[in-house]
Amino acid sequence: MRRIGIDVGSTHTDAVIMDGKEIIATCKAPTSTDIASGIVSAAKTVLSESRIAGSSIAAVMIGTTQFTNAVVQRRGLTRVAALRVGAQSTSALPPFCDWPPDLEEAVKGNVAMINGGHEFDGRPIAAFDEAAFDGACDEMARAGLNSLSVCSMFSSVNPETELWIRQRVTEQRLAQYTSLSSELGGIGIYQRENATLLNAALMPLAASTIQAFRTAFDELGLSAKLFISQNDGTLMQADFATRYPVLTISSGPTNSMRGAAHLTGLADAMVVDVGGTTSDVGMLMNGFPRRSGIEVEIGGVLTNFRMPDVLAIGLGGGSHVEERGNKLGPLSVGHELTTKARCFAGEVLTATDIACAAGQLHFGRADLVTDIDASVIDTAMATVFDMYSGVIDRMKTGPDPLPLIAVGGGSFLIPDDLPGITEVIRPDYAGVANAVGAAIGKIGAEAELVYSRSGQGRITAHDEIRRQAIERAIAAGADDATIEITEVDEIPISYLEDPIVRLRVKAVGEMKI
Amino acid sequence: MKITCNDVADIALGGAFLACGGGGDVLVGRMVAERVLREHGNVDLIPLQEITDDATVIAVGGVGAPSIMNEKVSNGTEAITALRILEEYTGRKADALIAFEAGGFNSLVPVMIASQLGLPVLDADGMGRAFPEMQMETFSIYGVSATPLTLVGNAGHSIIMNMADASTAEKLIRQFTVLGGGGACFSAEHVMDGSTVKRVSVPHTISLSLRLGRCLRENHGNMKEFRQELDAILQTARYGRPNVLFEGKVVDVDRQVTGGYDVGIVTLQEFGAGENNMTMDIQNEFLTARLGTHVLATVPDLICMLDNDTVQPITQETLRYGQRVTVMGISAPEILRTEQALKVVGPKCFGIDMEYIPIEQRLGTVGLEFDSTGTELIPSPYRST
Repeated sequence: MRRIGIDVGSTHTDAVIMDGKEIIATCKAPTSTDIASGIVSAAKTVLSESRIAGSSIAAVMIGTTQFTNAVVQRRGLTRVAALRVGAQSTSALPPFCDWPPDLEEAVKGNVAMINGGHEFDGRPIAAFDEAAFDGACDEMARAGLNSLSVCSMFSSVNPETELWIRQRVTEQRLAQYTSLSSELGGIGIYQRENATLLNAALMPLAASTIQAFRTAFDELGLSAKLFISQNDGTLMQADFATRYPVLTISSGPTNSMRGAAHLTGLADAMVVDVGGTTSDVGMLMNGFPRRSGIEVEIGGVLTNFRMPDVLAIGLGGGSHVEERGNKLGPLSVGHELTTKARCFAGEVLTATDIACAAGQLHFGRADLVTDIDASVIDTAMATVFDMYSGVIDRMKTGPDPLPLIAVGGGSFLIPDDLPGITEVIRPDYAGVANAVGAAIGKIGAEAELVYSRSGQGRITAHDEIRRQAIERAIAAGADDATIEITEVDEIPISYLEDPIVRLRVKAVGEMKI
Repeated sequence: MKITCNDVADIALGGAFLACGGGGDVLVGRMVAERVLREHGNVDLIPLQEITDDATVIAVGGVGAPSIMNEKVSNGTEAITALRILEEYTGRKADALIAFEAGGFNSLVPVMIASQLGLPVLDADGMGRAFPEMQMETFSIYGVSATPLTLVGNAGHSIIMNMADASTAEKLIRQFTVLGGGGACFSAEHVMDGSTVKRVSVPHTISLSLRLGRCLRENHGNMKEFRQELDAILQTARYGRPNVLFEGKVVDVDRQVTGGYDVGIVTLQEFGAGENNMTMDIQNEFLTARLGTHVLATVPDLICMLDNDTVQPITQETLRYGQRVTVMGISAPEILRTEQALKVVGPKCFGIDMEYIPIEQRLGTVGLEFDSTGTELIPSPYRST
């Protein structure tokens, strides 16, 4: 199956055409301000280079940092009306509690906390205060807000209140976008609501972004199915992404690590992705990024998402070199490397200039950096060595040495010999590992059921739900030979003598080719 | 000393470590307490020996399933209401508050109330760790009546309880917690005078939690440094030395909520090609640590779990398949190991049919060896090397 994988980064938009496991063509283009035109030009380039007809492309997979960047840089976010149901038992932690002030400022429209919600076993805890709900909707209208976040107590066990609210909002056209917490997470009201608020803040941006992608591909004559990368290494169909843009956050590191695994054939290794400003360090385990054991912050906000465990250090190709080579980064010339760096006739001494002067690089003009003092070069290279050695040691979980895969445009910075590393592998196409990761995205499916421990019992329930999830993954296009169960969650939902448990599993497999 | 808003996160983190997997959710307690202290001000933390003999001390905290408190985070008034009802009923006003257990949530409940009411908090608690039941508080073990006791649950639901013994009171607490609190309540209990509280409490545990929390925060992601500092910190507070019992991956979490408590078994598997499994019984807290059939530690000794990557304590309700963890065992303070205490907090009290053998003896019988740095004794039988 021929497909195009595209990675939209802050500075570059990369594209690859893959046929099965093989890479046919690659391209690296600057990211355009409007995103879409950069995607079109990258896709055009790989299509024309490979002489493959657009009509033969079955799928386009896009990994984009747009939504991550929107949150991190507080740009393009929509102000949200936050509705909490369950005030009587949860008001000690109101919506937006502990948010970074600038993000709160960008997202917080109005907040309403009203009585209602459910108990852990799905029983209503207090009557839903419909009058207060109507009041909250009036306020939302007065404030001119168009995106609503709804979080009701124990909605992950019983979503009826949230579903009722969405229906009412749709029928009466109270808001254009509604984000429900029950669709974004399990028990834990604070984290689930945070994800819902961020999702609501991103939904309008997602709608316009996905529309722009579609228009762009229509122009190219591509009729391929459009997929967007999620943070767990699986893909979602584009219209799903318009409703759940928050699920794309952090898909970049996942794609780069999955791409690194594909390019090297290694399933267990350390991966260092060096960009213009930072180096992201992660661990591949069984071909997937190791996920953080704890919940992860997005733009300073704690959510219930489990992200790839990545350590970022402020060292990249554009990092400023200061203090005679004793300090590199975190300041960087970023995407202005080719105008500001010394080896491109600029004024700023960067990490790239050091590599260029040391003869490690084939781009930039070596004749422009001959004046750099040899001791500065040596010191800077020693600093780079120390920075990578330190972060590698922190990332490792055992004493055994392991291979390191160097990817990303700035990967020339990574020294060949590092403590605890058997060898540094620099695969072909290392510069477009993210786009490869997007193109090889997997297909996932979830299934859940509620079982009674005295009835069918736990083992029967597990067997049944695993089978269901696998069947769904196959139906969604996964290759049955590659399907694995990647997540198992059990939530007890009853205190009764005969306890009831909600069981959720996720099955993931390669896209069937 | 004063507990400030900036200390709250450390107390929660250190409390979570001491709580052996229980003690409530770290995040919820921390955020609520930080909001309260920011608004109402700092809290005096007084050493146990400095409370006057005739002062009235009341224990406060949250009871129920932590997974439920994580959703039902309270409206901020329940614990104060519980205290007020108890004060009115007994005619005694609290001069100071004390935690009934150490935990990410329960170390902070007295702090939150104290800030709002302008009361001091004692640097001590009633467990020195967390346990699932009230009769397991040292206050009860050493003769203080748990009742009269108040519980406040959902809006409008509260109860004043008088029972002849703490075990029976505990049974009623569970029933009320389910019925009136949907699995989570706040309680005020164990009205004591100053001279009694000095005799029946585990001292230093709030300041210990603060130091442990700071150490965990400063050594985020650095297991080696943390373990070195942990040893020194525990020795200042009457706990024994920490021992690493297991390092591995969570491969199964079989857990249910029964009678308002999380009960189950977690199974860990050794990294790499290792054949060894560790199983741990859970009843809100980690009760046992077994290597195959070999018991390495049991209650009341502390069995604590840390995330290998972050070096942060793991509460049992956040256990997940695939987590990479280190299990540590720590000798409990002597006050939990007396004959009198073991009748209430020994393994048999949790339905586990075995005698209590102190962890240092258990590890002694399975052999100890020095770890790879040559500085720390570790149990040897599961080491493949």
